Amino acid sequence: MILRITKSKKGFVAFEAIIIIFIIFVLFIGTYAVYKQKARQLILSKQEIDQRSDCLQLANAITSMTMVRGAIMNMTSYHNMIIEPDQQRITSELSICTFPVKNVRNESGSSSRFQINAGRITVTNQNNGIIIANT
Amino acid sequence: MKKNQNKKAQIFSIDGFISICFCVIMIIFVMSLWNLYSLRLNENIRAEEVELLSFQITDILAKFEGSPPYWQNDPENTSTLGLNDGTGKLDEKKVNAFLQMNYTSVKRLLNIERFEYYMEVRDDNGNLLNSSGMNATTAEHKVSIVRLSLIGNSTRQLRFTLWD
Repeated sequence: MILRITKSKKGFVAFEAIIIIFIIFVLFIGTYAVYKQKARQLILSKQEIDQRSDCLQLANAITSMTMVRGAIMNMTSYHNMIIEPDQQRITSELSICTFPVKNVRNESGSSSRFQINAGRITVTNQNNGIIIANT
Repeated sequence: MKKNQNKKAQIFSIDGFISICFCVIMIIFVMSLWNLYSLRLNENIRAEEVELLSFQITDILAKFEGSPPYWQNDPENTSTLGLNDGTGKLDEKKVNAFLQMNYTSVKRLLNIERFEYYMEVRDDNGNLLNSSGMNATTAEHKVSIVRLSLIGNSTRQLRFTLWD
């Protein structure tokens, strides 16, 4: 009788061990899933901050150039950006920023929505308007 | 001997249970910390945006003549606001025209429709001479920029507050 009880208890310990290993395994998988999700969010946040930095740099250039007639400024952008002069807005894939002036145009003098590609950008104050173009 | 075996099994499960609980608490703590920092980052980005816009707007107002240069004669057809008279001083007529302009029109021209603003002109002793806009009473983010400038030969403080 004593021997039977002892065997049963050993079985119980083994069952507990399996459950605990299973729980630890589930916890590990859960933690790994959270880690992967957060890592993805971190990459996205970094991309957003980088794009925002480019966006603000261009918005600053537009504002500064407005005040100095005939001035030319060269800068480098690492992302494509869409400029909407009517909305006074610059958008990129993950970021958006605004500028407080209206007189922005593209190379051909159009003030409708236009794209600026990554690379060197020239911002010029010409005839009281700000012209933005890739160089 | 029976008693000993029984205790061993208990110790194993209590230890395991405590360590798992501790592990879960740690994971929850780290996740909350992460979310807290994400929130703080977004708040910082928002605060920086308000700050940068305030700087840009006060810069434009103080250093630029506006477009067209005599916009104060026809404020309805203004393209870009500016209070400078072209010699580095503020133009009194432009300042008055700006302060009397429709609140919504100013917000539209400065592209700050999602914010509120308040503008004050004070003398060099800090006495309020004129103001326009909405005073920040329930502001979550509020940035005030003060610039000293000349109107004629008198020193004036131009205080621009942007808030949301």
